Amino acid sequence: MEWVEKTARTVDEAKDFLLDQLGVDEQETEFEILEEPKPGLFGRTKGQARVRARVKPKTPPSRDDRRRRPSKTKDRGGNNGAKPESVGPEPKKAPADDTASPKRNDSAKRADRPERDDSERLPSDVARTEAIAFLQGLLDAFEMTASVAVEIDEEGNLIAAIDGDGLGRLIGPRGGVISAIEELTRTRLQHAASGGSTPRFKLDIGGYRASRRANLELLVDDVVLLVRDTGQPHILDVTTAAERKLVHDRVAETAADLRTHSEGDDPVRRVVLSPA
Amino acid sequence: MSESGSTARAEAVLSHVVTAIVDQPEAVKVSTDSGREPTRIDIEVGEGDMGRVIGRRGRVANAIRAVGRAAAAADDVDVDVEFVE
Repeated sequence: MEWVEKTARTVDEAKDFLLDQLGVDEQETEFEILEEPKPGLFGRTKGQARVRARVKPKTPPSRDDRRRRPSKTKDRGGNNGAKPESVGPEPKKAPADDTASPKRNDSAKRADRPERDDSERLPSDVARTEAIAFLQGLLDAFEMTASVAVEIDEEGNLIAAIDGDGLGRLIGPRGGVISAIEELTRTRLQHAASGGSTPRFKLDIGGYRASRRANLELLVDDVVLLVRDTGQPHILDVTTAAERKLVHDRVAETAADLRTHSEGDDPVRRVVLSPA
Repeated sequence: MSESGSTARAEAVLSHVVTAIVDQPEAVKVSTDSGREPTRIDIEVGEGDMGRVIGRRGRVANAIRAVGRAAAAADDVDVDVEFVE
C-alpha cells in the first residue's frame, strides 16, 4: 500500500487531510510523523508538521499469540529465540508482510517496543457478536424496536444494518447520529480487542446510507455534465470524509476528463470538481 | 416508557454506551441536573478512563454527546452532556 504525505500547520491537520485522502477510518490507518512543528513564541509554532500515512496493510496471522488463537500455539516457540528464518509453519505470506519482516527479525528492536501487536486482529465472529450486543443494547436503551443484522464480508469486515419503523432519530440531521453510533460501535470493538486491531465496521440504518449513496452518485453525475458544459470548476456540498471519498471515486471511475480535490477545513470541507 | 421531559431514556443510552468502552464500567455514574437550562447530564468515569470517553480530538466524546442528545430529544429535552473524572 502506498504512503501519502502531507505537510501542514499542525500534525492533526495533516492527519485529517491524509485520512480524508485515504478515505478510511483512523483505526485502519498507519501514521508516521516525519517532522513536528516546534513551539515558538506566544503559543505560535515554528516549522511545519510533515506526516505520512497509509492504509494498514492486511496483516497475516500473528506469530505472537497471546490471546484468542489457541489453535496456533505451535508458533509461539519461535518467538523468543531470534531465529525467525527457521519458523516452519509460517502461513502463506501476503506481500504486505515483506515490509514488516525486517523489523520483526530485529529482536532487540522488538524487545524495547512495548508490545502493541496490530496484527492481533479481533476475530470477525467475536467482533460480530460484540457489535450485535452493543447495538441491541443501544436500541433497548432508546426504547426502540428494530432488527439488528451484522454480516461478515469476504474480507472479514462487518456490515451492519438496523431496520424498522421510525428510525429517523437514530440517523439524525445530516446523518450525525448514525455516524456517532458507527463511531461508538468501532470504539466498542477496539475496546474488546484490547490493543489489537479490529475488523472494519460499517453501519446503515433504515437504508439511509444506501439511498444517500445513490443520491450522491446521481448528483455527481449531474455535476460532471455541468462541469463539462461550462468548463468551470464546481463545488459540491459534501461534508463527511466518507462521502467525499465517494465523490472522488465516482469521478475517477466515470469521468477521466475531470479532476477532484478537497478544499477548506472541517466542518466546511468541500469537494471541487474541475476540468483536467 | 420514559415520559416527556424526563432524561431517563438519555441516561440509559449514555450509561449503555459509556460502560461499553471503559475499563471500569462499575465506576460509571450518569446523573441529571434539571436545575440548569439546558438540562445537564454529567457522566462520571473511573480514574484513567477519561481518555477513552474523550478519544482522539474528542471524537468519541462528540459521538457520545450526539447519541445522548438524540435520546433526550425523543422526550423533548434539550441536554448538555459533560464528563467528570
